Amino acid sequence: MNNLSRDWMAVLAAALAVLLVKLGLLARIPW
Amino acid sequence: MTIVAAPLRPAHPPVARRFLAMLPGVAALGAVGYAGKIAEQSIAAYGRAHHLTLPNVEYVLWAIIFGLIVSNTVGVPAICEAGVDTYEFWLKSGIVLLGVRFLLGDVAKLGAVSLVCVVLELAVSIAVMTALGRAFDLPPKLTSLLAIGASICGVSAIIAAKGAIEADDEDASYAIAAILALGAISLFVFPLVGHALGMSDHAYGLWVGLAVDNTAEATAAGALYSEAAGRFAVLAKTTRNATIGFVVLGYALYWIRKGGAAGVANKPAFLWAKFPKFVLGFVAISTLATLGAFTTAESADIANLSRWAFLFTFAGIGLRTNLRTIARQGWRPLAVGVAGECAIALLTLVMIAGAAQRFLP
Repeated sequence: MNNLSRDWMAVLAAALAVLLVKLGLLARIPW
Repeated sequence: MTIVAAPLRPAHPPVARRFLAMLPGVAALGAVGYAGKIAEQSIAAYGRAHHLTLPNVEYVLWAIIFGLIVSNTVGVPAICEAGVDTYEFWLKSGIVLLGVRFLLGDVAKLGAVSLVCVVLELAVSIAVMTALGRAFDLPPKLTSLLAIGASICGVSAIIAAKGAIEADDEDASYAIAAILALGAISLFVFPLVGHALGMSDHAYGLWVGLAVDNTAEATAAGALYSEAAGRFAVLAKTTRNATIGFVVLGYALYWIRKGGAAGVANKPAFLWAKFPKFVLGFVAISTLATLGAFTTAESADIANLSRWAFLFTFAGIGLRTNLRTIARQGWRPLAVGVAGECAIALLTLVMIAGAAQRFLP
């Protein structure tokens, strides 16, 4: 797994998380 | 006729097995990071319950300290190594998600201020490190790697440049060890200096983003000061990271001219290959936030996801820092690193003081 794919994986994971938040499947994340 | 034997096993294990192999280490990152969060909350609760004014030590520092204790006493178990190595993935995901906290106008304004400072910082760092490398009689390619590491983004830049200038593994590990050691030191020194000088969150964040080499340490050193400073440190550091391709290409061309590296056939492709793609993700999320794509509650959720991703990162900084390995690398690269970084920190501080008067709130 090179740096390039690691970068894209991070972008994809973040995009998936944003999509889940937009769909309401991830909500009220505590901190 | 040549008969080529078919491989018995694929070169890489299947994705599912690689994913499973990461789970123990990811769990360790979560456990160490969460222990840091509990430590911060427990101390604050104790202080409130007993009416004591205790210093607020952020979970960032606790997570790093707990990680350092584990990695330098019992060591990271072999089963956890693959997962601990994912700390960089969490860092980059966290940065992309942090884009929700920046409106595009802020990114353009602060990014432009950062970019001017970054260009000055690159010139200063490369000049200082090259002069020191020559003064301490370090091998020329090790000097190049240290200059690249100090000027842009630490370990990633050194790894990117190692192939481009065909440096030895030993030189690369020396340079990486020096940059990591300096990153560990900067975590403690920068917040102290920032508080002593009474720096604003903007100015401190910009300074850390320019002067601390590794992205993880820059993010942590910013977050140790304040959450806002952490955000500005990430923005400045991300701007700096975006220049990685140009500096590595410049060094590759230098070593090609000296006959010490093979040619670069396609320069635009080289620049694109070295460009950190997560910067695009950060800008994309920031654009969506600017266009009003997220409600207040959604923005808060995305920002909290970013915080959790950083919690895993900070635990990883401690868990992958082995002080014995750093000590084994010898004193000369470290001496060059310390002298160079002190000079760079001082010069960028002067730069920030100038920028703060004109551009920063």
